[in-house]
Amino acid sequence: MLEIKNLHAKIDDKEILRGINLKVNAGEVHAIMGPNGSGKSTLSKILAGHPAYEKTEGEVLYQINGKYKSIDELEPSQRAKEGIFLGFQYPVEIPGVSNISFLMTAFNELCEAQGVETMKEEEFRKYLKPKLMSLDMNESFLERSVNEGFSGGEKKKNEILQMMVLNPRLSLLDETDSGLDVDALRIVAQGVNTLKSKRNATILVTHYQRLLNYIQPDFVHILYQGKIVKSGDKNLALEVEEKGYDWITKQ
Amino acid sequence: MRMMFQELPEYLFELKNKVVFFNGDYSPEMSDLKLQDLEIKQSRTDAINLLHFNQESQIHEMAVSVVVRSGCKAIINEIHFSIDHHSEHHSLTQILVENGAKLTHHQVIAPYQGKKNHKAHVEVFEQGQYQSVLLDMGGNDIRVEETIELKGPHANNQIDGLIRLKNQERSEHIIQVNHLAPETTSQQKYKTMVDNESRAHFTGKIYIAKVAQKSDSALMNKNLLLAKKSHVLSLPQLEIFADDVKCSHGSTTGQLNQEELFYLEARGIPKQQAQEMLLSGYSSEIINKITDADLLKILTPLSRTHL
Repeated sequence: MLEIKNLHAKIDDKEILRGINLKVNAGEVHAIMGPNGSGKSTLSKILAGHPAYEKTEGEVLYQINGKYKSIDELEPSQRAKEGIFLGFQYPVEIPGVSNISFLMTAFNELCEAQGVETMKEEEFRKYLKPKLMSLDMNESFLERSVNEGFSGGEKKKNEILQMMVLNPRLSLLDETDSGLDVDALRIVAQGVNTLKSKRNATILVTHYQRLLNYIQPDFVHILYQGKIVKSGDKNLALEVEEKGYDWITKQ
Repeated sequence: MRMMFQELPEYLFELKNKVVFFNGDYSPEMSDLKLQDLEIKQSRTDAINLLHFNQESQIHEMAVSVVVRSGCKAIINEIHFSIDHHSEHHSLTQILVENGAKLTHHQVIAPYQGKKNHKAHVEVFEQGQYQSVLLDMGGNDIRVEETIELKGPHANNQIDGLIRLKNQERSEHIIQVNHLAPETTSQQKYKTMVDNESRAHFTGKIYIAKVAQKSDSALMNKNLLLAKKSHVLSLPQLEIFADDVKCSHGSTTGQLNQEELFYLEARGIPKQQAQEMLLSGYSSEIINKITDADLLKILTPLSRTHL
């Protein structure tokens, strides 16, 4: 589904990614771990098309209609419509734009792109109801401005709600566990697990092993100084939890 | 010069069967209200609509005076429009809000052709409240000057302004709020969006007289520059002669937040549409202050392109 070859990227002339190679197939869950500043967030931002990050070398290939294609030329909104979803580490507050109109606009844009019928507000609210319930979110969240005044946990739940609404093929969840208490973490993880299927893939970007107790990764990669320095299965995450990153980075 | 509804821009049809004055002249199809009824002696829940318009190339002048008597409440929608870019319109609206009275005043400058020069002079007496929402949707040459005098203790003024300009439009807003009695309060917030090569000027001044102790006043001007050649001039000013007051003023000018834009785009909303969403979010804080449903109906089609 996704193939990253020798990816180099920079922001403000500072090189952050220095040759990433990664292959993700449908049905897989990958965890990308690493110390602060290793380039984890940059990787997810560049996949989603953030304009501040610039690719300087290498290739990002993504499967569209069965064929691998470079996503370089795709606008962020086009990437989203092709099923790439970035769950933000710091979800953005948007004053004056209600959550319901935001969700509905995004959903209907996707419907139009896929050639299926769009939903009217009443129908869309019904569609949302069970999703809200599964995330233990009150319906009043829909009337509030996007993320404005939400607590850290509420913001992350709102990210998962958007993910449920858009039902992406490739989810990049950037530090989704940060700022969550144990209960919220369990609910968020459940949300991610419910969406898991054979046709989609998930990349979890995380600093701690904690989230991986709830969402089982098939592969764990350690990112350090802009490169994947070690890959393994979920035991690698446990090892990191026990020994810290030092034992890898010193090798 | 009498105008019939058929001659009006379509968006004003929502006012059919409402109380309407055209350029100070009463519309005959309407109820039996007379111009002198703008001396409001009884509270009204339905809005009185004042339309200022220019239908031909000419210089037009007019003045309206409104008195809200003690303890009464009223809503006035004042709509300025012109479809002739050779026209010139000068208008003056004088308002008295007596003791304990409350006037809600919605002022709309619909997309305007020609030159517009409007003055509003408002006096508010003890415990009186003047609440105003002003929407300026742009024109070639607009100048609005408002003076508000808080003349009795506990008089209150609140103005929320929204100005959106594009192309080569020019608009100037000058507001002065004079606190002339103790414990008077006022809040002024003006938000501006300028696109293309348009220019907006804002001058806001709060004056607090020596007698106006314990007054509380805030003035804020926020500006969004949407294009490289758009231009904003912001002059917030304070002049304070009392020594026990709470008073603030500020001005910010910036561009659309790129992180907000990316967030919407990352959810599949195309850039152009995402920008519009952010702008309408920016406007909504002011538009939501409008309490008259009929006026909101008029604004809905206009706001898609002009707010």
